[in-house]
Amino acid sequence: MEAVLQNLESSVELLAVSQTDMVTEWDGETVDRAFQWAQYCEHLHTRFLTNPSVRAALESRLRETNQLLAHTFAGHRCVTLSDLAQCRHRLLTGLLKNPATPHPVIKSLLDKFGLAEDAESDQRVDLSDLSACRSACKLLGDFTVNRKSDSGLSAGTHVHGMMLLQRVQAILSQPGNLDYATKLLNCLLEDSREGPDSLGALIAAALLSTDTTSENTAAQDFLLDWLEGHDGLLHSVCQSLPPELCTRLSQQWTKFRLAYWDSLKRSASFLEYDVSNGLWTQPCDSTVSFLTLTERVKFLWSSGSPLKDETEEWLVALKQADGDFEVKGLNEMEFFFFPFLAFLVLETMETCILSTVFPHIALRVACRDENTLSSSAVEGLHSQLSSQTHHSSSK
Amino acid sequence: MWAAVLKTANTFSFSINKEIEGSFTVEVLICWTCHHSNCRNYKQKELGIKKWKGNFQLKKQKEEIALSPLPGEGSSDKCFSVSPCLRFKDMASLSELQMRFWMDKAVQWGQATSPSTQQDISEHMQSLETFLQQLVHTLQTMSSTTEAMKSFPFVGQFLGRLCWNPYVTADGASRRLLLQCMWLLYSAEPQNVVEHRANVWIRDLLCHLTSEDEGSMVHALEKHAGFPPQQYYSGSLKKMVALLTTEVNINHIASAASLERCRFDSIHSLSVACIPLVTCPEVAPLIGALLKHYNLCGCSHLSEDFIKAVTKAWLSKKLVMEDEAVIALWCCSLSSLEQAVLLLLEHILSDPKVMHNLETVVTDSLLPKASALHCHIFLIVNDVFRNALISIEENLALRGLLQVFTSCFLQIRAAQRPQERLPLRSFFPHVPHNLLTPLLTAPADVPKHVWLEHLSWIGTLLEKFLSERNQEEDSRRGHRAVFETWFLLVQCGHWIDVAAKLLVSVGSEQSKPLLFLLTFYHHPTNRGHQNTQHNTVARQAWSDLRSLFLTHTLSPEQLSAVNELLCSLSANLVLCLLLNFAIFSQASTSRMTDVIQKVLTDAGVRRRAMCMLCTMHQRLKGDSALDARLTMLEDRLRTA
Repeated sequence: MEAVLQNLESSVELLAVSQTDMVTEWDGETVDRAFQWAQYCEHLHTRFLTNPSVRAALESRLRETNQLLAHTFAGHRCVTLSDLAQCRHRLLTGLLKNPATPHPVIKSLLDKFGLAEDAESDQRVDLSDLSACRSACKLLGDFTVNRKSDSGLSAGTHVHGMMLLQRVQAILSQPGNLDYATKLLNCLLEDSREGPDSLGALIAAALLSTDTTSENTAAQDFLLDWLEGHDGLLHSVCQSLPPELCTRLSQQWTKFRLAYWDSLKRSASFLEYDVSNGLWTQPCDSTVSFLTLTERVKFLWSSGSPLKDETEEWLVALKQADGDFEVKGLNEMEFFFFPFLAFLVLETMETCILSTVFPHIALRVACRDENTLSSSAVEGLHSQLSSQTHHSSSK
Repeated sequence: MWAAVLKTANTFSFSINKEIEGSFTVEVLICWTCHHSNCRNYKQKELGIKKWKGNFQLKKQKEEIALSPLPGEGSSDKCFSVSPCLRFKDMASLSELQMRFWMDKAVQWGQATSPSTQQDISEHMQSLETFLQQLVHTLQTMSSTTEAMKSFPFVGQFLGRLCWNPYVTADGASRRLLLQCMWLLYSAEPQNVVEHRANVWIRDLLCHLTSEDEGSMVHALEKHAGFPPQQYYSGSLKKMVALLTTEVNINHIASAASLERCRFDSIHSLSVACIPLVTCPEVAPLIGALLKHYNLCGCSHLSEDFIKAVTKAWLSKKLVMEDEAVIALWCCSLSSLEQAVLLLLEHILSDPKVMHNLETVVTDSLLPKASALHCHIFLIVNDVFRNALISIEENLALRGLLQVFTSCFLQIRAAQRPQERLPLRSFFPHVPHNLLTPLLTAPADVPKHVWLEHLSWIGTLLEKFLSERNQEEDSRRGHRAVFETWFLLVQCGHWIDVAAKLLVSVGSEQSKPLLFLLTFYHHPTNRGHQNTQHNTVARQAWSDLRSLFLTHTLSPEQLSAVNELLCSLSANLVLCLLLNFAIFSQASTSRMTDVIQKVLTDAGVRRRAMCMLCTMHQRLKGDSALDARLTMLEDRLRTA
């Protein structure tokens, strides 16, 4: 083991030297040897990534070496364990960015890109393939996988999600790695400047991955737990992902469904009722509009059993929890079903303002779009309407 | 257009492959490149342009020029090699207008995110490559980056934009040209700020070609999840292709079942995006799925450039697809089918060695399989063969190809389920139906003892048909009908082989229909009204050969008669009879070699004999006794 650690130390030193003026002494052969050492480090990473005790030893040696190097070279960039996986790439970019890199070395790097047409396998290494694959991924990644159930996620996001899942699964396949996997996700969250939503989409893609063995399901569970632990992120994910996708996730993962309901409830609580115009308004742009909210519930509703029934139960429970009032008096608003409305209204308004006509509207909308409401719901509305009419006439 | 060969250290010659006219200036560009790894002067240096005026008239092709020795270092220095580079003057100078056009294009294309942009790039790809090639040549003539930047101030921005365009960098050829341009702009010893900046910029571009932008999700994922980029991208690409392939497949199944418009509406854009990826092995399954989707779904279009690119890549063996995908390609593009047939023809006509494994070559071409599945493919393939046969009717290799192709086709068709088979009549619409069954039946399916009867039957049918056609008033229609029947006979050449073999053992009376078939096979037209003469020659040759192989004494008169016939118009017929006698007669091997040696004296005839033997050898594989005789015959011919 000590030999391995020693090699690791030397390789990291080599990487550090490649970013200094000392590189002027290098030639094509030196570069080739350096790439071999870098490849050795990548191998170490693959071999010991999932082994907690060896990993700890590697990490601690990395820490020591980094400290020493930071003393020796000003501006030394620390090498972390996950950096080891990209050692060759780091060497390459380091050399390219180092102004001291001599001309023949740059030439030998360019040859690795496949500059010469006849340079065969040995010379072309993988840089040519790498840039080809990368361009190909960019071209194909933008296509949206268009099946209704998945809509909204690009092929790229799907695949990156699968890669993440695969890595998490590999890490979790060995005991004692839970913290390391959590750390990985935390780092991802911190480092992505594209914002938390893109990480959310990535995790959503991982959760939807159909290539599910039992190990993968465990990894998916882990991702969901992690997401739950980051409340703000979860809420933002529920808001940013398209409704079809959230519905699909709700169907597949109970934990997500509860979180999604919670998020909807939370969004609804921000809405305010504008009595003079008879409209629900958002107090600020950062909150979700009434229309978006109804749209989301509509998708949950149209997903069919059992999610539809469960959503209905949830809404009824909400309504009951808030005093089981019937809501009336909202002019010309296109609501799709009233229990949801009831909870919205009760969350935000004084019930005394409300008066008469809501079931009419609901019924009209229901007749226009029969798919939205089940026939029993329509019947329910009818009976409610007749009892109300009776009630007001007796007044 | 140019080919230049270094003849000695100081001269080289060059030739022009294209016919050109008029006078023009040729620029000779000489690059001395150092290949020696230990050499300190590692550089590619340009030693200037030698202007040389040539007055080229049409088809004037060769010139030789002298080079002045390498200044200072001496031309004998072994660590330098010379790569002369020639070009037209007006081809070399890039006009400002051109540069501006391409710069505008690069700006307009951006990072090629929309399908319409990708479509536009794919339409310009070929000319962009030509332009980049010219740019490479032009940059080679520049003494320094400073000079290059003065002449083309936008060159850096232009190259940079293209490097950021994945549609351009996905294509191997363009990527290499971009790298060449960058390398030519890289200064070994930067002399000023411009050159320093250019170097830094080139290094940054190289970084960009292999790395994600920092701060992107993918960059973070790669970094923290610990994926080596190579592994990450090739893994991602494979997964992405699998995902999209499933998507394309699911959708055609769904749409075929419900007859609805298919839901994956991006088929066309996807095909456009795949154009630069046709040679990328990871993408092959997706390309196959797109082609199959097109045939099954019919509601979507594939880009024409995509079809062209796939055809080109497949023909040059840079793309490997499953059989179904190739057949789907032919179904949606007539020209790709024609190209495949022409390639097969070219392969067989240009290389005599192919005859040794003709059947494998034909089967591997997938054309028989495609023909059995799709009648229209069979008809088109045979149309190409028909045209080839009209221009080179005597060619033995072509006849061999037709025969093997047809038998492969029949075998594959026989293996199909009966309900999938179309009636044979639709494959052979132009020939009389009564001839179809006897000719298309394989000899193996007819008991040996009735072969003679079977052939007599065919002969009678054919004679009757020909005499009817001759009496027809519309002679053109008659000719056409005769041609089609003969074409069928060539396709079913296995019966001609049987007839030739039987002629070795039958008596005079039985030989009549067999000789008739053989004569018609070799001389279908009554060109020069020589039918009667051909018949006489065939009969004469047959009886001469009979006595040469079957009697005890070797008569010199008969030998010289056969020798003469082999140089006549009926050479192929006589040769065919001769070889059949040599192999199938009971004559001793010494007699056989004796006759062969005395008769086959002309080199041209021997070559044809080799070709015929080759096909016979293929046919008779497995028969050890005959095999030995054939091998001996071949050796004799080779050494003679």
